[in-house]
Amino acid sequence: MKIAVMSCIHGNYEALNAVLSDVDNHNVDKIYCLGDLVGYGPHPNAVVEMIRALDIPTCQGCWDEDIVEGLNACECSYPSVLAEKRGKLAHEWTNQIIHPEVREYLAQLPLSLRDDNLCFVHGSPHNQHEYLLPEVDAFVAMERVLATGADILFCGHTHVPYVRSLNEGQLQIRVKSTGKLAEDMSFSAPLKRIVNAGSVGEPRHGRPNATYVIYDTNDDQITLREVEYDYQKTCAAIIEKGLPPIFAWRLARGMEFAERADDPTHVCER
Amino acid sequence: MGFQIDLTSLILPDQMADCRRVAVLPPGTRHTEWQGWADVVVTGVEPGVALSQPHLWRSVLSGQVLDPASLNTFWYELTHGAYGTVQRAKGIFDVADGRSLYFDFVAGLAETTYLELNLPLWCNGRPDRFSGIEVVGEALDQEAIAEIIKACCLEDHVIAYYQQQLRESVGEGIGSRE
Repeated sequence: MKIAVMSCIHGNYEALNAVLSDVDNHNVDKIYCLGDLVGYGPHPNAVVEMIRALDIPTCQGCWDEDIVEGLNACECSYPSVLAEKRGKLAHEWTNQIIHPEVREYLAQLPLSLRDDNLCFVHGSPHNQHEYLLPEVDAFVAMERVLATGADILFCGHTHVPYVRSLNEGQLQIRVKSTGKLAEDMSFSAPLKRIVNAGSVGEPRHGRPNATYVIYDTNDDQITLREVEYDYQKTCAAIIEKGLPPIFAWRLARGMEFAERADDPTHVCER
Repeated sequence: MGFQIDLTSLILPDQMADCRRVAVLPPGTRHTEWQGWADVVVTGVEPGVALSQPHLWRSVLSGQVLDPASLNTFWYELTHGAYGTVQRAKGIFDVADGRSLYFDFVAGLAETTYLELNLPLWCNGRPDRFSGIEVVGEALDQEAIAEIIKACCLEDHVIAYYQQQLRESVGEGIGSRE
């Protein structure tokens, strides 16, 4: 069975359409979406309507949650004062334009999805705002996967796709309790993987192309897909809809609009 | 070059002997006021960007303290054409950790030059020293540039927070230039 996993569409309808066409061309049996349907981009309602119309199983992203609950991000969401101001502008714009039924849909999205030995989350199993960067400490990475009970953890949120294999992990721990001698324990962790699907609508890899992932359960093959689309249309819509023009400039260069985690040691405290 | 400089204001000091006026001009520059002003003309390199309608935009920022990460984002966008074509940009900025930084960009050269000025760390209140920005370019979106710079500036309570930390670290001998 072939499974397509996409994430972080961010109201970019043109990019979503291009990815769905690419999915069609690869005989995919099932699609999962890891959230962040809205935020920054000019077509949040259209994106949600498309995902709903295709009945794509979707988990809730941090932007989806913020539109429902209000802004409540950890400091890791905003690397600078400027990024925070831009993020708030985008949030306010999206909050005004979003349809009530779209907000209701976003509110009921689950935080994670399971399919046999696969788990799907937006940021990490801990919460939607936590970044699982490729450089994150191996122990932390392994803990996040083990917490799900799955063999492969699919996530998004960083907007940069990657596959990380955690194999032949040897864990050593020391258990100390009052009145007892410390006990050393060691055990081996089985092969686990983290697969980041990148971003459909707000790539951060230096090109404007959308990214997503195809996983083939038959041969255990993971393929990172990069899809060209008419990003100029999205850029024009950003300006036409009254979003900050700098969003269009940055999208055209494959740069993040505002959010960007750069500290792999940061544990989200939200 | 030179469109914003009044050449009559460039007076050599009397007390300096054996002084000569030297102008470094782009290749092919002829019949400009610089040839009449200079004793020696040196041919420099081609300008990275040829401007048909050059424009100068400047703003004094004295008293403002900028968030360094925001400043980096703004400077990248400015020097990569987000707010119009930039041929040259220079700035002196006070940043949250008390330093005064000098940024210098020339179109066609690979990197912006960054220099930490040899000035005391500013630990108390808004800096009472010069800072500012000057941009030479074409079709500059001055309003957007001003807006972004404003968005990079820190509020009083944030400046006070950083300066409190700075005073503590300087007090412990960390980061002090004394």
